[in-house]
Amino acid sequence: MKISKKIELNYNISFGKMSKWLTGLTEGFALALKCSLCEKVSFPPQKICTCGSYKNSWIKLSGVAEIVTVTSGLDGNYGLVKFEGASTLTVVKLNNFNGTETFGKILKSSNQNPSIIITPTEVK
Amino acid sequence: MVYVIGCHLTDFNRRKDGSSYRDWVYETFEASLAMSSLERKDIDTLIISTESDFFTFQLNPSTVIADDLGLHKVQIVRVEGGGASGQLAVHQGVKSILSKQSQHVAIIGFDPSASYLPSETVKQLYSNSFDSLTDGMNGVTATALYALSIQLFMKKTGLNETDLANATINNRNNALHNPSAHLKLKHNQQEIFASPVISSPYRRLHCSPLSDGAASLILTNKKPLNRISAPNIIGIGSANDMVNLGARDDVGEFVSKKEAMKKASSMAGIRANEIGFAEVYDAYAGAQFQAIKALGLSSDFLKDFRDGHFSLDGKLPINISGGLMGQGAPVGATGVGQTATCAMLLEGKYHKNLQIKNIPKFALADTHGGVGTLSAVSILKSNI
Repeated sequence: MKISKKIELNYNISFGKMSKWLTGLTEGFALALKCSLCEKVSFPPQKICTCGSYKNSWIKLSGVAEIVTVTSGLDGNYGLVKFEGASTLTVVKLNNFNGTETFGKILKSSNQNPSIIITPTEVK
Repeated sequence: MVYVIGCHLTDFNRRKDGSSYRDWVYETFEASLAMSSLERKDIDTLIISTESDFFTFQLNPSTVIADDLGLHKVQIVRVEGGGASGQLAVHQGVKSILSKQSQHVAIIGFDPSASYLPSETVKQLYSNSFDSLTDGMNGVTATALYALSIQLFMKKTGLNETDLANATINNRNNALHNPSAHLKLKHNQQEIFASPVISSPYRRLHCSPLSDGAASLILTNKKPLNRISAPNIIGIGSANDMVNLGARDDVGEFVSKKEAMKKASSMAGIRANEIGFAEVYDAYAGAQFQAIKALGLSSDFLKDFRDGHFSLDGKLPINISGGLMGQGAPVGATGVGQTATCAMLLEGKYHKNLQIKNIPKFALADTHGGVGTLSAVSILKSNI
């Protein structure tokens, strides 16, 4: 015997300190956290730096990123990129990637799905 | 000391027979209990490993399972750590015995990962098994994240697509001799190179399947006089790395695994190169190589692989069960099943065509959640 069950989950999610970062993504800019102690810049932001410090401040990056490596296929185009001014790498979705671009610029994402998406470009 | 006196895996596959995960749990527990020579009333602790209530459609499944198994007035713990859940459950069992909280522990891992939900829904849920604020919002899949990691590992080590194909062929070949395996397939390189690219370099045939199934262990604190060959678990260790790949010191290396192994080796009092058999977490063809390197099982993993040292008749057989790629992966059961495989093999009780003739002294079960984000390993010792 088998039965089908369907449930709909309408989450109403709050993001606390990360709201500022997510709002930035919906407006098309990259907000990062800069550690006040070692000055490491994390994007996505790390609330506690790897140096152990929890003191930090928000900074706005240019939104331009250099592509380090890309994976493509049926699951879409995703890359690891280095945003200008960031100390960390970032996993991003690549919008309209044709396989030759080496840079990208952050793209505005939907209010309901704030995501790190870049439009690849041939030049910085 | 901790002795493994019962172990069992159900078939790992996509169930089409109308059975429930609760049937599989019953089947595996009864089999382990029979092997242990204990009685139901002897079990004082039940440890359950299942990754997600989304899969089972059952919140708080541990208590329901306890009722199904006729276990009452016992300690119950449910353990969850993504793909590492099963191995962490093993660790919980070991800790419970070593802290004298328990004498006889039943560990049961299970998940209906294949047949209860459509695969697209499962894929969507898994996007949230990474950081749901960043990777989850992007819709990036597990395959894409593993692919980004292996790309950097390949650049650094010289691992190539032929190696990925050969690892896939080897593991699925082993699965041909494992009656409980999900993908008993004989591949050739051409088939693998022709299979669709999911996330480069990973093709469909490089991926492990999500399976239905259950696995179990019975641990005890005293050497069983009627079975002196029962193996011990002598070392456990776990560690994490950053969830966001880009925040890691080295995206291609499984640093958490290295740390977990360091802890387990230290507890066991042995070195990694003393391990004679290993079941490692090959969620994807390349992950097996990342694991072998991080675990320190070989000083030149690529040469050893190409020379056949990790095959059934090699100096260090790895994933002779078929691994996740061949045997399958019912998530909560995976780590329990890997440990059960090691225990059976160390006691000379594994499947006829896969049993290593010269039984090694030590075996390793290696499991992780995320892209090597939370790693858990156990070292077992033979008493033959």
